[in-house]
Amino acid sequence: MNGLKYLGLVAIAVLSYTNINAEMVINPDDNTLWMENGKGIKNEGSESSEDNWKTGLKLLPDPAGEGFIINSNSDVDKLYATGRYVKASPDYPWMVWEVTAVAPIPGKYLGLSMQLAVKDSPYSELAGNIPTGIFVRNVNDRGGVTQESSVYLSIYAYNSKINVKYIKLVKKPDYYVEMKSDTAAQKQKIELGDNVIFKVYLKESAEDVSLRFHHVYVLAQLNVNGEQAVQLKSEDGSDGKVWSATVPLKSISGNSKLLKPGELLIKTVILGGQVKVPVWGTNTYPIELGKK
Amino acid sequence: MRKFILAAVLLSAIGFSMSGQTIKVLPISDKITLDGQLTEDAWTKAADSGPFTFLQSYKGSPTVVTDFKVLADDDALYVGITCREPLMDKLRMVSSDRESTVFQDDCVEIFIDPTNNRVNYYHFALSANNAQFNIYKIEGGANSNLYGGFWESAVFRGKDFWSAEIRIPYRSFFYTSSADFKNEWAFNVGRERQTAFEISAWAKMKTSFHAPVLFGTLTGLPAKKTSEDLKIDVVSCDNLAQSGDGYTGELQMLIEASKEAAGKYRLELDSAELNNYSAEVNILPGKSTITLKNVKIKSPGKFSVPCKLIRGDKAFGRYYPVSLKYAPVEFVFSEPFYKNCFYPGQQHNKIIGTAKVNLSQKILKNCKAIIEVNGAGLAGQMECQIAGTDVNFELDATKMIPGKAVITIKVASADNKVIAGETSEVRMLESHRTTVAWVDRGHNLVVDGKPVFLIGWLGGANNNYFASKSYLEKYPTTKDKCSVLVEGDIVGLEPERLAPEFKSEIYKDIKPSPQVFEKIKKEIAANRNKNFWFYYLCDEPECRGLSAIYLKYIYDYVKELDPYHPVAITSREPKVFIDACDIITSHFYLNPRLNQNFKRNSVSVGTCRNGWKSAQEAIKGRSAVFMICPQAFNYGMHDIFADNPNFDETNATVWDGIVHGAKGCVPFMYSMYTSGIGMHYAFDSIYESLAALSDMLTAPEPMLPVKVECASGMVGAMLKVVGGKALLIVVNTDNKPAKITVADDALKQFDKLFTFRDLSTVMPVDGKLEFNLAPLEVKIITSPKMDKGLTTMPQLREKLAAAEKALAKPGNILFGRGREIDCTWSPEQPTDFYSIPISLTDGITDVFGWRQRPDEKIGWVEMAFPTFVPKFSRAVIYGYPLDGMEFLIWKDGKWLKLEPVSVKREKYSVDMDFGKQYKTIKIKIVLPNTRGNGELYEVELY
Repeated sequence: MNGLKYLGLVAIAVLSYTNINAEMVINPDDNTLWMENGKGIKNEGSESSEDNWKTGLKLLPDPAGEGFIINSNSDVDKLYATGRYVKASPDYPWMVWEVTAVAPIPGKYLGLSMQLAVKDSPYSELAGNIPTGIFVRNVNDRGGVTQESSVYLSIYAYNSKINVKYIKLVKKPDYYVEMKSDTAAQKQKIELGDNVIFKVYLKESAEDVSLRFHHVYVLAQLNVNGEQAVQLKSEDGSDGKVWSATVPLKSISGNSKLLKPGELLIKTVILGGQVKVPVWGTNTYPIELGKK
Repeated sequence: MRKFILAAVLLSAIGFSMSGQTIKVLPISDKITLDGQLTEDAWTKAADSGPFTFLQSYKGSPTVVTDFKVLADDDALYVGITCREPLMDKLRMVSSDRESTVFQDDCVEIFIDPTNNRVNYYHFALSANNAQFNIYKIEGGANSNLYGGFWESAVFRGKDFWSAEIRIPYRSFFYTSSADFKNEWAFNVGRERQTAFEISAWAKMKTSFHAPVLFGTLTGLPAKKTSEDLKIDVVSCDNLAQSGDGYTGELQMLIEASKEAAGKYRLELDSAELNNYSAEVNILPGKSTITLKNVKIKSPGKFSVPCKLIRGDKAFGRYYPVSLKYAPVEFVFSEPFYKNCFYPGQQHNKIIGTAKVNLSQKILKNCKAIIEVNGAGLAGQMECQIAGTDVNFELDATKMIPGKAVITIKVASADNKVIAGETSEVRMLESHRTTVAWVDRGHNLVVDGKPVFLIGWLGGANNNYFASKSYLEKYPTTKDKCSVLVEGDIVGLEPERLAPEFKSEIYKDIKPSPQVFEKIKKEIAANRNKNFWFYYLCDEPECRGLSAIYLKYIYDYVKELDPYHPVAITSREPKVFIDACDIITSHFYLNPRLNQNFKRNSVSVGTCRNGWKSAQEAIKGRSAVFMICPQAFNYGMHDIFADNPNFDETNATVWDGIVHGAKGCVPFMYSMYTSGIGMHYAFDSIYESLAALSDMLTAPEPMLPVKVECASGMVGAMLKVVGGKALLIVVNTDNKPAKITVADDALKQFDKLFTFRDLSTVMPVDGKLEFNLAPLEVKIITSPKMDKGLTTMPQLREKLAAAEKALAKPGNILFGRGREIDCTWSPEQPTDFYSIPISLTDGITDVFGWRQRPDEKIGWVEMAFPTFVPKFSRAVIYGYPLDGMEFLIWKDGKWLKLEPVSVKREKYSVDMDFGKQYKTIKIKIVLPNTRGNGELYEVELY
């Protein structure tokens, strides 16, 4: 990103900060910077809107009362994108959204992405297969937000009716998974041979936690070190709320030589806990898989 | 508000990409002179794309900069691309216009989707030598359509760069109607730098440019006007006849135009071969055909002709590969009917045909035609009249013996000078040691002299798809269910399988290499003693972009080598591939699905209907057979919510295909059609019904054009009356009830008709019948009754309902909850991971849900329960072999093996009572002694 573009960002922040994020719930609690929960949602904005979603893909309040519905159908219209400006802050690094139902239109291209335009944040576009569950992204794991600012939040959806309970930016999610290595921050990547640390944090204790791995494209299942799952162990003293495993990374199946940030979906399977839906995390660092 | 405007202007000026790569087009009104130099003011003001990046498969970043800018006026898009190049003297520039060799040159590529759907897109390529190429990519880049839209370009080569200016009028996006244009387009620019083997693009791509979902976005575009919705679909030139030093032909153009685009145009064909033909034409709104007779042609061949329709200062149209085929004389035989062959057992009284003489009337005046026959026991000649350009003849063939009879026509002038001639062959085939099959006038496959309604399977346990031991015991082969198409009844001749080293050829419109023909010949020879019905040439060629012309060469070769067996292709584009086969099998699937609440999406049998119609059209006027290949599986291997088609969906799809002329039903089943109980019952009942009705379906009498009145337009019907017997099939393909009237004079002869597989009767009134059909209902009416020994449909539905109910055994905690269960298992290819938990809990106890990998000694399946915690005291496991099977639960952080207090063993099941209740978040089933043969079919917990 060149200096002129940064200037643009800063200009936006300086010029527009005080008027941002009307209609969203701002600071509903200490942990949450903002939350879109569908109440009072509007779709009349322009490209630079800060108080409602840009005209285009419509987000409608869920008549059942909680969240909103994204409804995309290429037989009806060709409106696949919307977005708006939202606050970003280094104190609130986690973007979380929950998909509760997906009704794809058969025979059509399916896709969903929710993206906060922060430098080096993971980018995931689910293509061909959209699961339900809680999605967690550390958008600032690589330090893209250095100060409070205004950034663009975009949603792209293709040919599905998707129920979203909320999108929010938080300090710490109730449930999340991290994938790191000792050298990731220094090298700005994870490579084969690195010791990868998988960690899952839960609000309530659980009896068992394991991880599955998928590619964003059609949710193709990937094996790590030849195994379908990585079994985690409860950390001592965590009362079954923190689960981890350290795995020397030997291989990830599939054809990719490189998994860019956001391309690996990590599905957390939580058993005997309070949360009954999968928690989907991702890699925040690129994972280099060498020659295939 | 002022603050927001300033911010917006800042963003626009720097073209900031907020959500993926985005670039805003600069609107212009001044003229751009295309010289490749980007010197106009507008280029300096336009947003810069920013640098390109390598495809994911390359490490690092491009060593030179490529960037572009985009302008737009109300008529066209302009793209200016600059390619820095320190090795200008090494630029590769050998291609010519409209050749795909452009991609081997230093070139730039532009990808445009004006709808932003990111499925279909226009692909332009321009070399450093200004050679152009374009194509229209569909289905996400998987396939291509002919394109040839007009666009302009200029290239400038400087000291250390080359640059291009490209102008694409919006009317050139003729596959996209103006209504579908958006003001944001999916867009990308790529560069192939041959000097240093670098491939880069503006939007971040993975391993190929052809991933439209990853394209960037162009914003601020105007739309195409409706007055520019004009498309030339097809250009053909037939009936070439000699005229003077050249030829004349009849040019036909299929055109589609909006109401606003309709009107008068000047047609210009800028082609020396067509003598730069020009004419005033009137284009009608909608789809129309323009026919232009006596178009002068220099020489036959295939040429890329720029077909322009000019109105004012605008040229619409495209380059189209026009085939100018000329044969002075062409034979068409009506007897024998199929492939110029009399087959064993066929009557061979006469050879009847027409020789079409493609010479001008002036030349043919006072000419005579002599038809000679020689060979296969026939000899003789006769003089025939030339009626217009046709020479109709009948030759006595009663004395014909097996062999080839050469038929020759000589057209001679009044002074006996031969001015044209042609030969053809008619073969009488000897009886063959193996099965012989051909096609009759009724589009039936005839096997050893008997027309058959082809029923069978594609896929299946004997065709390299695994089936459970229990299933194979119940259904040893599929032969006991239907007549053909287990392994051995077809012979595969797929060129890409037989000659993989020549696989790259099959995408091109070329003659196959001699080595490919050699492999085909070898395979035919290897199977000469085998009893089989037909050759299988290709599977889904349209999905893989295979060339119909390439396949036709192979088809012609196979027919020459072995006229005893037809050739089949499976395709969803029957019209494209019909020339390369005798049997076209169309496979249109329903793809049913559940939503998150496990409620079923309704599926449209109508989508299959459109497919069957296209196949019916494709075989018209040809000696070909159309078969349907409906869905007998589900996509659970990819999609956790995929489901099998149910009874009514399957039934309506198949009978609708038959109503549209299908003479065969060969569902694709992967391994087991019993994996869905409704589908299973449907196919079983369909096969019984087809066996009972096949004589009527394959009788030579044609289907009658029965009139159907129905508000939805979603009802199909066919009627056959054969020797006083009647067969009427009516299919409601709608998901709603339908009130239908069916009428035909042929029904007047019947006082009463019988409902097939039912006890009711119907009485036509004045040749009309009225029905109230339920959604997806099929009504089959016959006279006389033709369903002896078959269960009635109401009885069948009762049986099905009982069978469905029986799947859910009382107290089985896991039944139907497969989508809530997370399974892992001893390492297997990660392709079937979704279907395993579903198959293990669907109540069907002979279809495997999991199969052990062959090289494993120990196999296991782990079932985890994230959404519920089962409490059970009994487990029933279905599988094989189950000796030594272990059942474990997760308890206190480790696996605990449960020992049953009592066990009931059957060959394929173990029923274990544990004597007390257990509660667990996951279970594990281990098959330790199976040596790679372990199978699990069902897991029940009580």
